[in-house]
Amino acid sequence: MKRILSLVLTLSMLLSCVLLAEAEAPAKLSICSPDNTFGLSTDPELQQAVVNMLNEACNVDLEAVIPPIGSYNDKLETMMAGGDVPDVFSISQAMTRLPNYVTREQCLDLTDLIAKSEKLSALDQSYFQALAIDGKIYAIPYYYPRVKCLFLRKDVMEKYDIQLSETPTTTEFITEMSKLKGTGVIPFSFPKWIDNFQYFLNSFGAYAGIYQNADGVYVDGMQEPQMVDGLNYLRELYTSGVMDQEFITTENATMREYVYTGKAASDIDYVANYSNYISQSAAAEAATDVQPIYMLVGPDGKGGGLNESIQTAWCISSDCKNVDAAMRVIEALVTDPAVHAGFYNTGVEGAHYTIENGVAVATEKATNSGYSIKYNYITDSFIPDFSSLPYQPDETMKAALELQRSIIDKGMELRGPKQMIPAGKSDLYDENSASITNYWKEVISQIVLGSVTVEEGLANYKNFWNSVDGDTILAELNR
Amino acid sequence: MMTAKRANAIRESNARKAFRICNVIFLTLVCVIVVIPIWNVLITSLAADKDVMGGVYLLIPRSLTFKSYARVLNSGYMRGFWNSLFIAGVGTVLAMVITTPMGFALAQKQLVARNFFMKAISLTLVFDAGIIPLYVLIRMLGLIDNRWALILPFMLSTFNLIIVKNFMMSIPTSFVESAWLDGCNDLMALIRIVIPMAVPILSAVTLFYFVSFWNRYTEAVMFINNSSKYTLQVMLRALIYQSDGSLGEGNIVYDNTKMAVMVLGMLPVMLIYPFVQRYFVTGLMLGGVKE
Amino acid sequence: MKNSGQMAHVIHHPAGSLRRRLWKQRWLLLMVLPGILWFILFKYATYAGLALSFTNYGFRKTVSFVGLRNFERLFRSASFLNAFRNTLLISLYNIVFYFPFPILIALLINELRSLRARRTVQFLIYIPYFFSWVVVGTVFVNLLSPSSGIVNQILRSLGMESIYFMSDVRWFRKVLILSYIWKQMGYGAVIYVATLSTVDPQLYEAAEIDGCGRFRQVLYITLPTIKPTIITMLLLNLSHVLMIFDQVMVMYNASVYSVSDVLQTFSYREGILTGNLGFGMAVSLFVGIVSLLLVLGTNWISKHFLDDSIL
Repeated sequence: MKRILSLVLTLSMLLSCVLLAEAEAPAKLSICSPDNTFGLSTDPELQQAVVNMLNEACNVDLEAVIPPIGSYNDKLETMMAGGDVPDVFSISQAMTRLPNYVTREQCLDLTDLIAKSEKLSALDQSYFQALAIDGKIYAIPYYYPRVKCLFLRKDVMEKYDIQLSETPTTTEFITEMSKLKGTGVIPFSFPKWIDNFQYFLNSFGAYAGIYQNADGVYVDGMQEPQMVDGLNYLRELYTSGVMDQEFITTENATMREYVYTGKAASDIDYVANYSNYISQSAAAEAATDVQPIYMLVGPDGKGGGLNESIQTAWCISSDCKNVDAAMRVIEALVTDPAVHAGFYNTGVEGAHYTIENGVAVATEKATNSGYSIKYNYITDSFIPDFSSLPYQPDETMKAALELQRSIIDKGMELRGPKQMIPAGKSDLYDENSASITNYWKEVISQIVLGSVTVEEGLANYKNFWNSVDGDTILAELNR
Repeated sequence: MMTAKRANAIRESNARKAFRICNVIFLTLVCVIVVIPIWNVLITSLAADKDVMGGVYLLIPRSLTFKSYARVLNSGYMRGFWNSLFIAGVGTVLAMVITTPMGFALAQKQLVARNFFMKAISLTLVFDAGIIPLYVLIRMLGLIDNRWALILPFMLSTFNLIIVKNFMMSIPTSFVESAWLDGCNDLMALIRIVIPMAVPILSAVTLFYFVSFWNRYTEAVMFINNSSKYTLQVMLRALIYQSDGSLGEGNIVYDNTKMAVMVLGMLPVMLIYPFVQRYFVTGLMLGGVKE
Repeated sequence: MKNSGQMAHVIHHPAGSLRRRLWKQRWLLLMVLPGILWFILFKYATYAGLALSFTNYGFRKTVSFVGLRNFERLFRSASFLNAFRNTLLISLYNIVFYFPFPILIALLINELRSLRARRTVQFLIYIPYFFSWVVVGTVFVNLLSPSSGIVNQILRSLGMESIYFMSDVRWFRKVLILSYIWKQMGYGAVIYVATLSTVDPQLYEAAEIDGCGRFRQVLYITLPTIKPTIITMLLLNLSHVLMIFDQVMVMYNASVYSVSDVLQTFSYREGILTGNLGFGMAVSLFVGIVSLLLVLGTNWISKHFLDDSIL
């Protein structure tokens, strides 16, 4: 009898242990984000260290999918089309892609979940609202809207006596930068991404693509009269030799390399990358400070920095089984200083870096896989204070970051417009939006390079516009 | 009579000499044009950082350092290398094991339903549903995130199959028939008679398969989730393009490292080429035995 | 019963004999079997996806049948028609300029006397085949750069203006074809060289004795031997020309869309990247049908000029 009792007791104890373990077992989740996250290293072991950190911090069991950044959208689209949507996934070009995902019902409505979350509802809600569709929030950004300005090497400015303020006029920019002609220095390096031309179009009040004008009416920016002035200016930038003649084959990385090494005097980049120019130009043995040019003032006093708004944000799949766990992960990524810094930049102590005298030093393994320690997260994220971290940037970096913060503030203040067109309003628009974007990119690049004149280019555009029934699209959007 | 013939022969040989010289010059020219860009890749990969900054086209070495190679080799190169080698090695062997007999069988005119088979196969040359239906299939087979997902769907290529089949059709049927008379079945005839005669084309096709497995990129990204299973091509491309992220968080990767990546990505395949090439011409000797 | 007897009478293959034939060919059939299974699983099963071209799959969560709407949209879109025109033009250039090149090279290599020289040339022209298109893209951007590329350096030293090949609508297609030749020349040549190795040397010797010059030997012995291979390669090339994708994807840019956007890049940008899979599948189906027509046409021609059709 006693024996049986003890057996029953042991069994029930064992059982309760199992049950308890079951209850506390971390929730299984899949997460997908490109390989410029998870600690900024492409080494699988180092990436796993970051996953483990997340698992521990959020009591989850993550299956991480970390595609190369260049193939990220392809991978995500394939997974969605195959019915394999990850529970938590990051989206890029959020302003364009989110409406698309939402109409396809791939994203969970997060409005109530954010309201319930103590940490997330404490943040400035206007950042979430920027991505709201019909008042509902489907994506959670983790940094301020992205703004691009021009960065101009100060050593080149001094050497060639270039006099430009932080908000010069469009004409001043061309005349001053033309001083570099014949010096072998490219005055202004530009990447192949045509959307960056919007920076200059802002000076003329022009907007490439469909947008809602001041009266709240959707119009096509390419067919507005001010577009002609904008395009003429872009063409002049190119013919005057100010803009890199080879911009259409220049990658972002190459453009930056040119300015870091002094081959080019200026380029266009995120305001939050200011400190990179200080550290990377020093690394390339061409150390210099750079001056931001937030906007070029056009003839009518218009202008604004390139507003890319929210580029990346977190979504939860509408098929997600464990929404609470998914929210825990996003909460930590957005608001926890250690998790945020580790995930987006520095990785994990012991794996990516070691701390020597309060300064983080990259391990050899991490360095080999393309990793280096950056402190941009300090000025980028919604987290006000990173002083709890055991390592801190050195004094020069601290000073640069201090400056960077003011540059970001100024850039935010002077940023131009950015529009998100709601999806699901017009099937015709949803079908043709990619087509329209590609076509204006083609026309603008051809005009700048001189394969067609402004008039010819715009006439071609008009023909295209008619072939996709553009006027009906506008009518449906304005309905 | 005699002298006229001799004079003819001499004139002939003069014309032939002229042709031969032109031929050598032309082929040399072609080779030079082909090699210049490759030479540039090689020289750039061996240059020091400061010599490649800001885009220059190097043809004359300014510096010689293996630093870029060391950098790439230390970035977990070997893991990607072994993954690729497994996929390309196993894949190529399986591909040849399937392609060779099938090509042989389809080359036999008496094969039952040969016409139907050929039509059904040829249809796959022109229709391609793209990667997403294949992804769905792989998922149904439970092969997502499995290295076999990069082997099984590609272990036959209609292109290569038809090349092999057509080569085998050029082998006179008398050879196979004589093997039958010796008591061989079709399989033994294939192994003993046909394969030795088809060595040149089979080695060429082996190489095609290997290169196609080795260089496959898109599918490797789509079907594999765990980055420790990434192939060399994915790993190397990630290494280069991480710096290209529009946000610019990554380090700059200079041209020398990019070129080192290119060289290291293709070197393993290039190294097996000379071994395969020896077999491109062995058919010659066998050709002499014909009839 | 009567019917089958009649049939058997007509084709001289009674049912029993078919069974006997199958048994006799058991080895051959066994050789075909794994391949056939593979084709069913990995090719024909995925073709079910092509049926999605009649739906709005991916565009909205609930899939619905949309009939020919995707095709209607295709044929109305100026971008699609432009892409179709480019695809046909690039294919045509490929066939005219690329296709004969490996044959010529293989014949010339065959004329080289020293085995070592043959191998060296073959090896050198084969190297670019080992590179993936991404690499070839980078190589050509560098090679053709107006400021630093060697081609423009040569142009300038000859007193000419430099040309921005990668952004010039007059040049870009030529760049596509040249880079295609650069990469694929060795690949084609290897196949022909392998075929040339089957020519019986005794034939040449006999021709020599008959006083046939080298040129006539090539004309009457070499070319007829590789003729089936040439036609096979032509057919295989034709079946794939419309699927050109990787090369264009890594080399083109917005300024040359008008001359370089092809069907597959179009379908990638507007089908896959926007999640509109039904539309993407409509393009795939269209490509398949046009390719089929191309191949059938060639096969028909080859049937008339050769005894056996290639497929």
